[in-house]
Amino acid sequence: MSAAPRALVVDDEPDLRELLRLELEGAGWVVQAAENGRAAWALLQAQPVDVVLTDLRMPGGSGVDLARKLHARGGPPPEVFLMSAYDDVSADEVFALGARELIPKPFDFEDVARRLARAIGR
Amino acid sequence: MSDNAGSGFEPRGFGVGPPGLVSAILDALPVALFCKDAGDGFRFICWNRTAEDWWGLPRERILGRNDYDFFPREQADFFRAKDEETMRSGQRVEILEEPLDTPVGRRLLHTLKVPLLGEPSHAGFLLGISWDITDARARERELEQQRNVQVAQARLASLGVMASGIAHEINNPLSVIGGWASQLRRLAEADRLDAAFAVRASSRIEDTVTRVSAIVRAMRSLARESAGDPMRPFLAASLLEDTLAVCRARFAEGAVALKVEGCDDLRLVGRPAEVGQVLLNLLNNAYDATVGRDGAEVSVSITGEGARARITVEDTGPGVPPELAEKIMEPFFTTKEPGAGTGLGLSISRSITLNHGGELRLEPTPRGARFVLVLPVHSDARELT
Repeated sequence: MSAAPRALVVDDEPDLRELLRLELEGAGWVVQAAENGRAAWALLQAQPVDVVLTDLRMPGGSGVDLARKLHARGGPPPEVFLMSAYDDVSADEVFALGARELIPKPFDFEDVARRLARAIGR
Repeated sequence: MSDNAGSGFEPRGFGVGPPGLVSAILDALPVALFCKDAGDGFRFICWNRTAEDWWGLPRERILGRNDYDFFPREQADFFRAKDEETMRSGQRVEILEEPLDTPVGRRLLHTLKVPLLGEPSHAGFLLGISWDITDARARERELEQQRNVQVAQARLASLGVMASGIAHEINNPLSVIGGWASQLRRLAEADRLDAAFAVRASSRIEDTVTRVSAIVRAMRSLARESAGDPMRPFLAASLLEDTLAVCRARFAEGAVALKVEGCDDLRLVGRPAEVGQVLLNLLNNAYDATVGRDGAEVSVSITGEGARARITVEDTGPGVPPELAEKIMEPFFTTKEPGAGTGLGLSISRSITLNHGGELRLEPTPRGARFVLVLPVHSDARELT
Protein backbone atom coordinates (compact mmCIF):
# COMPACT_ATOMS: atom_id res chain seq x y z
CA MET A 1 0.00 0.00 0.00
CA SER A 2 1.27 3.43 -0.94
CA ALA A 3 1.68 6.36 1.49
CA ALA A 4 -1.38 7.80 3.14
CA PRO A 5 -3.32 10.16 0.87
CA ARG A 6 -3.19 13.86 1.72
CA ALA A 7 -6.19 16.18 1.90
CA LEU A 8 -6.44 19.91 2.43
CA VAL A 9 -9.67 21.11 4.01
CA VAL A 10 -10.54 24.80 3.54
CA ASP A 11 -13.45 26.36 5.42
CA ASP A 12 -13.95 29.47 7.56
CA GLU A 13 -16.08 27.50 10.03
CA PRO A 14 -13.70 26.06 12.69
CA ASP A 15 -16.10 23.25 13.66
CA LEU A 16 -16.31 22.06 10.06
CA ARG A 17 -12.53 22.02 9.76
CA GLU A 18 -12.30 19.98 12.94
CA LEU A 19 -15.09 17.58 11.96
CA LEU A 20 -13.73 17.01 8.46
CA ARG A 21 -10.31 16.39 9.94
CA LEU A 22 -11.74 13.81 12.40
CA GLU A 23 -13.67 12.13 9.60
CA LEU A 24 -10.85 11.99 7.10
CA GLU A 25 -8.14 11.06 9.56
CA GLY A 26 -10.42 8.27 10.72
CA ALA A 27 -10.52 7.11 7.08
CA GLY A 28 -6.74 7.11 6.83
CA TRP A 29 -6.03 10.54 5.34
CA VAL A 30 -3.34 12.97 6.35
CA VAL A 31 -5.24 16.18 6.78
CA GLN A 32 -4.22 19.81 6.70
CA ALA A 33 -6.69 22.63 7.22
CA ALA A 34 -6.90 26.31 6.29
CA GLU A 35 -9.46 28.97 7.07
CA ASN A 36 -9.50 30.63 3.65
CA GLY A 37 -8.22 30.43 0.10
CA ARG A 38 -5.14 32.53 0.72
CA ALA A 39 -3.96 30.43 3.67
CA ALA A 40 -4.69 27.28 1.65
CA TRP A 41 -2.60 28.49 -1.28
CA ALA A 42 0.32 29.17 1.06
CA LEU A 43 0.07 25.65 2.53
CA LEU A 44 -0.05 24.13 -0.95
CA GLN A 45 3.22 25.80 -1.90
CA ALA A 46 4.97 23.91 0.89
CA GLN A 47 3.09 20.62 0.65
CA PRO A 48 1.20 19.29 -2.37
CA VAL A 49 -1.94 17.25 -1.64
CA ASP A 50 -4.05 14.69 -3.46
CA VAL A 51 -7.39 16.34 -2.73
CA VAL A 52 -8.53 19.87 -1.91
CA LEU A 53 -11.95 20.20 -0.28
CA THR A 54 -12.87 23.85 -0.16
CA ASP A 55 -15.81 26.02 0.75
CA LEU A 56 -16.74 28.46 -2.01
CA ARG A 57 -17.20 31.66 -0.05
CA MET A 58 -14.88 32.68 2.73
CA PRO A 59 -13.57 35.95 4.06
CA GLY A 60 -10.00 36.42 2.89
CA GLY A 61 -9.73 34.38 -0.29
CA SER A 62 -12.60 32.45 -1.82
CA GLY A 63 -12.70 28.82 -2.89
CA VAL A 64 -13.44 29.96 -6.42
CA ASP A 65 -10.15 31.85 -6.61
CA LEU A 66 -8.31 28.93 -5.10
CA ALA A 67 -9.79 26.47 -7.60
CA ARG A 68 -8.96 28.83 -10.47
CA LYS A 69 -5.36 29.20 -9.37
CA LEU A 70 -4.96 25.43 -8.96
CA HIS A 71 -6.47 24.90 -12.40
CA ALA A 72 -4.18 27.49 -14.00
CA ARG A 73 -1.04 26.18 -12.33
CA GLY A 74 1.01 23.75 -14.35
CA GLY A 75 1.64 20.19 -13.30
CA PRO A 76 -0.81 17.54 -12.12
CA PRO A 77 -3.47 19.36 -10.08
CA PRO A 78 -5.08 17.83 -7.00
CA GLU A 79 -8.69 16.70 -7.20
CA VAL A 80 -10.79 19.67 -6.14
CA PHE A 81 -14.10 19.37 -4.30
CA LEU A 82 -16.18 22.46 -3.71
CA MET A 83 -18.55 22.91 -0.77
CA SER A 84 -21.34 25.45 -0.74
CA ALA A 85 -24.11 26.50 1.59
CA TYR A 86 -25.91 28.07 -1.38
CA ASP A 87 -27.68 26.56 -4.38
CA ASP A 88 -25.97 28.97 -6.68
CA VAL A 89 -23.30 27.04 -8.54
CA SER A 90 -24.15 25.12 -11.70
CA ALA A 91 -22.47 21.94 -12.89
CA ASP A 92 -21.00 23.96 -15.77
CA GLU A 93 -19.39 26.39 -13.38
CA VAL A 94 -17.96 23.56 -11.30
CA PHE A 95 -16.51 22.05 -14.46
CA ALA A 96 -15.16 25.42 -15.64
CA LEU A 97 -13.28 25.74 -12.37
CA GLY A 98 -11.64 22.39 -13.00
CA ALA A 99 -13.33 20.96 -9.93
CA ARG A 100 -14.52 17.39 -9.61
CA GLU A 101 -17.85 18.07 -7.96
CA LEU A 102 -19.88 20.34 -5.74
CA ILE A 103 -20.91 19.11 -2.30
CA PRO A 104 -23.90 21.06 -1.05
CA LYS A 105 -24.11 21.89 2.66
CA PRO A 106 -25.34 20.37 4.89
CA PHE A 107 -23.69 17.07 3.94
CA ASP A 108 -23.16 13.60 5.31
CA PHE A 109 -19.56 13.35 6.55
CA GLU A 110 -19.18 9.63 5.82
CA ASP A 111 -20.45 10.25 2.33
CA VAL A 112 -17.89 13.03 1.81
CA ALA A 113 -15.11 10.69 2.94
CA ARG A 114 -16.32 8.05 0.44
CA ARG A 115 -16.39 10.57 -2.42
CA LEU A 116 -12.86 11.72 -1.67
CA ALA A 117 -11.64 8.14 -1.55
CA ARG A 118 -13.27 7.37 -4.90
CA ALA A 119 -11.60 10.43 -6.44
CA ILE A 120 -8.15 9.01 -5.81
CA GLY A 121 -9.15 5.47 -6.71
CA ARG A 122 -9.32 3.96 -3.23
CA MET B 1 -81.59 82.94 9.80
CA SER B 2 -82.70 84.71 6.62
CA ASP B 3 -84.47 87.42 8.60
CA ASN B 4 -81.48 88.04 10.83
CA ALA B 5 -79.09 88.15 7.92
CA GLY B 6 -81.34 90.41 5.89
CA SER B 7 -81.98 93.09 8.51
CA GLY B 8 -78.50 93.08 10.02
CA PHE B 9 -76.73 93.11 6.68
CA GLU B 10 -73.79 95.43 6.69
CA PRO B 11 -72.40 96.33 3.25
CA ARG B 12 -68.99 97.22 4.63
CA GLY B 13 -66.54 94.39 4.65
CA PHE B 14 -68.52 91.67 2.94
CA GLY B 15 -70.27 93.08 -0.12
CA VAL B 16 -73.54 94.56 -1.25
CA GLY B 17 -76.67 92.92 -2.54
CA PRO B 18 -80.37 92.52 -2.08
CA PRO B 19 -81.75 91.34 1.27
CA GLY B 20 -81.49 87.61 1.61
CA LEU B 21 -78.36 87.29 -0.54
CA VAL B 22 -76.04 86.51 2.38
CA SER B 23 -78.51 83.88 3.58
CA ALA B 24 -78.62 82.38 0.14
CA ILE B 25 -74.84 82.35 -0.02
CA LEU B 26 -74.58 80.66 3.37
CA ASP B 27 -77.22 78.12 2.34
CA ALA B 28 -75.31 77.35 -0.84
CA LEU B 29 -72.05 76.57 0.92
CA PRO B 30 -71.11 72.88 0.94
CA VAL B 31 -70.29 73.12 4.64
CA ALA B 32 -72.69 73.03 7.57
CA LEU B 33 -72.92 76.38 9.32
CA PHE B 34 -74.63 77.06 12.62
CA CYS B 35 -74.59 79.79 15.18
CA LYS B 36 -75.48 79.66 18.85
CA ASP B 37 -76.18 82.51 21.24
CA ALA B 38 -73.75 82.16 24.10
CA GLY B 39 -75.68 84.76 26.08
CA ASP B 40 -78.86 82.72 25.88
CA GLY B 41 -78.06 79.15 26.81
CA PHE B 42 -76.36 78.38 23.49
CA ARG B 43 -79.66 78.36 21.65
CA PHE B 44 -79.38 78.00 17.88
CA ILE B 45 -79.91 81.22 15.94
CA CYS B 46 -78.58 80.08 12.54
CA TRP B 47 -78.71 76.69 10.79
CA ASN B 48 -77.90 76.58 7.07
CA ARG B 49 -79.25 74.28 4.37
CA THR B 50 -76.29 71.89 4.46
CA ALA B 51 -76.71 71.51 8.22
CA GLU B 52 -80.38 70.69 7.64
CA ASP B 53 -79.41 68.02 5.11
CA TRP B 54 -76.68 66.41 7.15
CA TRP B 55 -78.47 66.32 10.48
CA GLY B 56 -81.87 65.75 8.83
CA LEU B 57 -83.33 68.53 10.99
CA PRO B 58 -85.10 71.53 9.38
CA ARG B 59 -84.25 74.91 10.83
CA GLU B 60 -87.81 75.38 12.13
CA ARG B 61 -87.11 72.58 14.61
CA ILE B 62 -83.64 73.85 15.54
CA LEU B 63 -83.84 77.59 15.93
CA GLY B 64 -84.53 78.74 19.49
CA ARG B 65 -83.52 75.36 20.93
CA ASN B 66 -80.25 73.95 22.17
CA ASP B 67 -78.26 70.73 21.86
CA TYR B 68 -80.05 69.09 24.80
CA ASP B 69 -83.31 69.21 22.82
CA PHE B 70 -81.91 67.00 20.05
CA PHE B 71 -78.90 65.01 21.10
CA PRO B 72 -78.45 62.32 23.72
CA ARG B 73 -77.30 63.81 27.02
CA GLU B 74 -73.72 62.57 26.75
CA GLN B 75 -73.26 63.98 23.26
CA ALA B 76 -74.91 67.27 24.21
CA ASP B 77 -72.56 67.53 27.22
CA PHE B 78 -69.61 67.10 24.89
CA PHE B 79 -70.85 69.82 22.50
CA ARG B 80 -71.59 72.16 25.38
CA ALA B 81 -68.15 71.66 26.89
CA LYS B 82 -66.56 72.53 23.53
CA ASP B 83 -68.85 75.57 23.17
CA GLU B 84 -67.92 76.85 26.61
CA GLU B 85 -64.26 76.22 25.99
CA THR B 86 -64.50 78.25 22.79
CA MET B 87 -66.20 81.23 24.41
CA ARG B 88 -64.02 81.14 27.52
CA SER B 89 -60.74 80.97 25.62
CA GLY B 90 -61.77 83.38 22.90
CA GLN B 91 -59.96 80.96 20.54
CA ARG B 92 -61.07 78.65 17.78
CA VAL B 93 -61.67 75.12 18.93
CA GLU B 94 -61.48 72.18 16.57
CA ILE B 95 -63.20 68.81 16.70
CA LEU B 96 -60.96 66.90 14.31
CA GLU B 97 -63.13 63.94 13.52
CA GLU B 98 -66.65 63.21 14.57
CA PRO B 99 -68.99 60.61 13.09
CA LEU B 100 -72.50 61.64 12.11
CA ASP B 101 -75.27 59.36 10.89
CA THR B 102 -76.95 61.27 8.08
CA PRO B 103 -79.80 60.28 5.75
CA VAL B 104 -77.07 59.36 3.19
CA GLY B 105 -75.14 57.18 5.61
CA ARG B 106 -72.39 57.69 8.13
CA ARG B 107 -70.15 60.67 7.45
CA LEU B 108 -67.07 62.00 9.23
CA LEU B 109 -67.11 65.69 10.09
CA HIS B 110 -64.38 68.11 10.98
CA THR B 111 -65.81 70.99 13.01
CA LEU B 112 -64.41 74.39 13.82
CA LYS B 113 -65.99 76.46 16.58
CA VAL B 114 -65.32 80.19 16.44
CA PRO B 115 -66.22 82.76 19.13
CA LEU B 116 -67.87 85.89 17.68
CA LEU B 117 -68.63 89.36 19.02
CA GLY B 118 -68.03 88.67 22.70
CA GLU B 119 -68.23 91.86 24.79
CA PRO B 120 -68.85 92.76 28.44
CA SER B 121 -72.60 93.23 27.90
CA HIS B 122 -73.07 90.02 25.95
CA ALA B 123 -71.37 86.69 26.05
CA GLY B 124 -71.22 86.65 22.24
CA PHE B 125 -72.02 84.03 19.68
CA LEU B 126 -70.58 80.75 18.68
CA LEU B 127 -70.15 80.06 14.99
CA GLY B 128 -69.85 76.43 14.05
CA ILE B 129 -68.49 75.28 10.70
CA SER B 130 -68.50 71.59 9.88
CA TRP B 131 -67.13 70.03 6.75
CA ASP B 132 -67.29 66.52 5.45
CA ILE B 133 -63.96 64.72 5.60
CA THR B 134 -65.32 61.24 4.82
CA ASP B 135 -63.83 61.15 1.32
CA ALA B 136 -60.56 62.75 2.37
CA ARG B 137 -60.19 60.14 5.12
CA ALA B 138 -60.97 57.37 2.66
CA ARG B 139 -58.27 58.73 0.31
CA GLU B 140 -55.80 58.87 3.18
CA ARG B 141 -56.60 55.30 4.04
CA GLU B 142 -56.11 54.31 0.44
CA LEU B 143 -52.74 56.05 0.31
CA GLU B 144 -51.78 54.37 3.56
CA GLN B 145 -52.73 51.01 2.05
CA GLN B 146 -50.71 51.73 -1.08
CA ARG B 147 -47.78 52.64 1.09
CA ASN B 148 -48.16 49.41 3.03
CA VAL B 149 -48.10 47.44 -0.20
CA GLN B 150 -44.91 49.22 -1.27
CA VAL B 151 -43.33 48.61 2.10
CA ALA B 152 -44.22 44.93 1.78
CA GLN B 153 -42.71 44.78 -1.72
CA ALA B 154 -39.52 46.44 -0.58
CA ARG B 155 -39.39 44.05 2.34
CA LEU B 156 -39.63 41.11 -0.03
CA ALA B 157 -36.81 42.57 -2.12
CA SER B 158 -34.50 42.96 0.86
CA LEU B 159 -35.53 39.48 2.03
CA GLY B 160 -34.32 38.11 -1.28
CA VAL B 161 -30.93 39.60 -0.57
CA MET B 162 -31.09 38.32 2.98
CA ALA B 163 -31.97 34.83 1.79
CA SER B 164 -28.49 34.14 0.45
CA GLY B 165 -26.99 35.19 3.78
CA ILE B 166 -29.55 33.03 5.54
CA ALA B 167 -28.68 29.95 3.47
CA HIS B 168 -25.15 30.28 4.76
CA GLU B 169 -26.27 30.95 8.31
CA ILE B 170 -28.51 27.89 8.35
CA ASN B 171 -26.70 25.35 6.16
CA ASN B 172 -23.29 25.79 7.77
CA PRO B 173 -24.57 25.25 11.33
CA LEU B 174 -26.64 22.30 10.11
CA SER B 175 -23.45 20.72 8.79
CA VAL B 176 -21.79 21.34 12.15
CA ILE B 177 -24.67 19.86 14.14
CA GLY B 178 -24.92 16.89 11.81
CA GLY B 179 -21.18 16.32 12.01
CA TRP B 180 -20.97 16.25 15.78
CA ALA B 181 -24.08 14.07 16.05
CA SER B 182 -22.65 11.64 13.53
CA GLN B 183 -19.37 11.41 15.47
CA LEU B 184 -21.26 10.80 18.72
CA ARG B 185 -23.42 8.09 17.18
CA ARG B 186 -20.56 6.19 15.55
CA LEU B 187 -18.29 6.38 18.60
CA ALA B 188 -21.14 5.15 20.80
CA GLU B 189 -21.98 2.34 18.37
CA ALA B 190 -18.33 1.23 18.43
CA ASP B 191 -18.31 1.55 22.22
CA ARG B 192 -15.44 4.05 21.94
CA LEU B 193 -17.22 7.18 23.18
CA ASP B 194 -15.45 8.86 26.07
CA ALA B 195 -17.21 11.32 28.34
CA ALA B 196 -14.95 14.28 27.61
CA PHE B 197 -15.59 13.99 23.87
CA ALA B 198 -19.34 13.57 24.42
CA VAL B 199 -19.44 16.70 26.56
CA ARG B 200 -17.46 18.70 24.04
CA ALA B 201 -19.51 17.54 21.04
CA SER B 202 -22.80 18.15 22.83
CA SER B 203 -21.87 21.65 23.85
CA ARG B 204 -20.76 22.45 20.30
CA ILE B 205 -24.18 21.27 19.15
CA GLU B 206 -25.90 23.43 21.78
CA ASP B 207 -23.85 26.51 20.89
CA THR B 208 -24.61 26.01 17.24
CA VAL B 209 -28.33 25.68 17.91
CA THR B 210 -28.17 28.97 19.85
CA ARG B 211 -26.48 30.57 16.86
CA VAL B 212 -29.19 29.39 14.47
CA SER B 213 -31.94 30.48 16.87
CA ALA B 214 -30.51 33.99 16.96
CA ILE B 215 -30.57 34.30 13.20
CA VAL B 216 -34.08 32.90 12.93
CA ARG B 217 -35.29 35.33 15.58
CA ALA B 218 -33.63 38.27 13.83
CA MET B 219 -35.04 37.20 10.50
CA ARG B 220 -38.53 36.93 11.95
CA SER B 221 -38.39 40.32 13.59
CA LEU B 222 -37.25 41.95 10.35
CA ALA B 223 -39.50 40.08 7.97
CA ARG B 224 -42.76 40.29 9.86
CA GLU B 225 -45.76 42.21 8.59
CA SER B 226 -45.42 45.56 10.31
CA ALA B 227 -48.24 47.68 8.90
CA GLY B 228 -50.47 47.40 11.96
CA ASP B 229 -47.70 47.65 14.55
CA PRO B 230 -47.98 50.45 17.08
CA MET B 231 -45.10 52.89 17.40
CA ARG B 232 -43.21 51.78 20.51
CA PRO B 233 -39.92 52.39 22.28
CA PHE B 234 -37.10 49.97 21.48
CA LEU B 235 -33.35 49.69 21.99
CA ALA B 236 -31.35 50.92 19.01
CA ALA B 237 -28.56 48.46 19.84
CA SER B 238 -30.83 45.37 19.66
CA LEU B 239 -32.24 46.48 16.36
CA LEU B 240 -28.74 46.96 14.99
CA GLU B 241 -27.76 43.53 16.30
CA ASP B 242 -30.75 41.86 14.62
CA THR B 243 -30.07 43.63 11.36
CA LEU B 244 -26.38 42.76 11.38
CA ALA B 245 -27.22 39.15 12.22
CA VAL B 246 -28.87 38.68 8.85
CA CYS B 247 -26.16 40.33 6.76
CA ARG B 248 -22.88 39.80 8.62
CA ALA B 249 -22.10 36.55 6.79
CA ARG B 250 -22.65 38.22 3.44
CA PHE B 251 -20.23 41.01 4.35
CA ALA B 252 -17.62 38.56 5.62
CA GLU B 253 -17.79 36.39 2.52
CA GLY B 254 -17.71 39.36 0.18
CA ALA B 255 -14.61 40.56 2.09
CA VAL B 256 -16.34 43.83 2.97
CA ALA B 257 -15.14 44.92 6.42
CA LEU B 258 -17.93 45.93 8.75
CA LYS B 259 -17.20 48.47 11.47
CA VAL B 260 -19.87 48.97 14.10
CA GLU B 261 -20.06 51.67 16.73
CA GLY B 262 -23.14 51.25 18.85
CA CYS B 263 -24.77 53.23 21.56
CA ASP B 264 -25.76 50.81 24.27
CA ASP B 265 -28.73 52.38 25.98
CA LEU B 266 -30.19 54.60 23.29
CA ARG B 267 -33.92 54.06 22.82
CA LEU B 268 -35.83 54.98 19.68
CA VAL B 269 -39.55 55.19 19.09
CA GLY B 270 -41.19 53.53 16.14
CA ARG B 271 -41.86 50.24 14.42
CA PRO B 272 -38.67 48.22 14.89
CA ALA B 273 -39.38 45.99 11.89
CA GLU B 274 -39.64 49.01 9.60
CA VAL B 275 -36.60 50.81 10.96
CA GLY B 276 -34.66 47.54 10.66
CA GLN B 277 -35.73 47.35 7.05
CA VAL B 278 -34.38 50.84 6.39
CA LEU B 279 -31.10 49.94 8.06
CA LEU B 280 -30.82 46.65 6.19
CA ASN B 281 -31.49 48.45 2.94
CA LEU B 282 -28.74 51.00 3.63
CA LEU B 283 -26.36 48.17 4.55
CA ASN B 284 -27.23 46.19 1.41
CA ASN B 285 -26.66 49.28 -0.75
CA ALA B 286 -23.33 49.94 0.99
CA TYR B 287 -22.33 46.31 0.41
CA ASP B 288 -23.23 46.50 -3.29
CA ALA B 289 -21.25 49.73 -3.62
CA THR B 290 -18.08 48.31 -2.07
CA VAL B 291 -17.91 44.57 -2.77
CA GLY B 292 -14.95 43.64 -4.94
CA ARG B 293 -13.18 46.97 -4.37
CA ASP B 294 -9.84 47.38 -2.59
CA GLY B 295 -10.23 48.40 1.04
CA ALA B 296 -13.98 47.69 0.96
CA GLU B 297 -15.39 48.84 4.27
CA VAL B 298 -18.78 49.78 5.64
CA SER B 299 -19.15 51.58 8.97
CA VAL B 300 -22.33 51.86 10.97
CA SER B 301 -22.60 54.13 13.95
CA ILE B 302 -25.39 55.20 16.25
CA THR B 303 -25.10 58.39 18.25
CA GLY B 304 -27.61 60.29 20.33
CA GLU B 305 -27.93 64.03 19.84
CA GLY B 306 -30.48 65.30 22.33
CA ALA B 307 -33.96 64.28 21.23
CA ARG B 308 -32.66 62.73 18.00
CA ALA B 309 -30.64 59.66 17.21
CA ARG B 310 -28.27 59.65 14.28
CA ILE B 311 -27.60 56.38 12.53
CA THR B 312 -24.84 56.67 9.95
CA VAL B 313 -24.04 54.11 7.27
CA GLU B 314 -20.84 54.98 5.47
CA ASP B 315 -19.04 53.08 2.73
CA THR B 316 -15.79 53.24 0.78
CA GLY B 317 -17.52 52.77 -2.57
CA PRO B 318 -17.48 55.18 -5.51
CA GLY B 319 -19.96 57.52 -3.82
CA VAL B 320 -23.06 59.13 -5.32
CA PRO B 321 -22.39 61.62 -8.13
CA PRO B 322 -23.70 65.08 -7.11
CA GLU B 323 -26.12 65.17 -10.05
CA LEU B 324 -27.80 61.98 -8.76
CA ALA B 325 -27.94 62.99 -5.11
CA GLU B 326 -31.53 64.19 -5.42
CA LYS B 327 -32.67 61.41 -7.72
CA ILE B 328 -31.59 58.43 -5.65
CA MET B 329 -34.46 58.78 -3.19
CA GLU B 330 -37.06 58.78 -5.99
CA PRO B 331 -39.17 55.67 -6.53
CA PHE B 332 -37.85 53.23 -9.14
CA PHE B 333 -34.54 55.04 -9.56
CA THR B 334 -31.68 52.56 -9.53
CA THR B 335 -28.08 52.43 -10.70
CA LYS B 336 -27.90 48.68 -10.26
CA GLU B 337 -27.97 46.13 -13.07
CA PRO B 338 -31.45 45.15 -14.27
CA GLY B 339 -32.77 42.60 -11.81
CA ALA B 340 -30.32 43.57 -9.09
CA GLY B 341 -32.38 46.30 -7.47
CA THR B 342 -36.03 47.29 -7.39
CA GLY B 343 -35.27 51.00 -7.22
CA LEU B 344 -37.72 51.13 -4.35
CA GLY B 345 -35.30 50.72 -1.47
CA LEU B 346 -34.34 54.30 -0.76
CA SER B 347 -37.71 55.82 -1.61
CA ILE B 348 -39.49 53.40 0.71
CA SER B 349 -36.80 53.92 3.31
CA ARG B 350 -37.34 57.64 3.14
CA SER B 351 -41.11 57.23 3.36
CA ILE B 352 -40.74 54.95 6.40
CA THR B 353 -38.38 57.44 8.00
CA LEU B 354 -40.70 60.41 7.42
CA ASN B 355 -43.51 58.34 8.85
CA HIS B 356 -41.41 57.97 12.00
CA GLY B 357 -40.95 61.73 12.24
CA GLY B 358 -37.35 61.35 11.14
CA GLU B 359 -35.30 62.03 8.05
CA LEU B 360 -33.03 60.15 5.69
CA ARG B 361 -30.37 62.05 3.80
CA LEU B 362 -27.16 61.69 1.92
CA GLU B 363 -24.36 63.70 3.50
CA PRO B 364 -21.26 64.90 1.69
CA THR B 365 -18.14 62.96 2.60
CA PRO B 366 -14.59 63.01 1.16
CA ARG B 367 -14.92 59.48 -0.24
CA GLY B 368 -17.67 56.90 -0.65
CA ALA B 369 -21.21 57.59 0.44
CA ARG B 370 -22.63 58.53 3.82
CA PHE B 371 -26.32 58.00 4.53
CA VAL B 372 -27.70 59.46 7.70
CA LEU B 373 -30.90 58.28 9.29
CA VAL B 374 -32.22 60.65 11.94
CA LEU B 375 -34.91 59.32 14.28
CA PRO B 376 -36.65 60.57 17.40
CA VAL B 377 -35.29 59.27 20.69
CA HIS B 378 -37.53 57.90 23.39
CA SER B 379 -37.04 59.69 26.68
CA ASP B 380 -38.94 57.63 29.27
CA ALA B 381 -37.17 54.42 30.28
CA ARG B 382 -40.18 53.05 32.13
CA GLU B 383 -42.18 52.45 28.98
CA LEU B 384 -39.47 50.36 27.43
CA THR B 385 -40.69 47.04 26.10
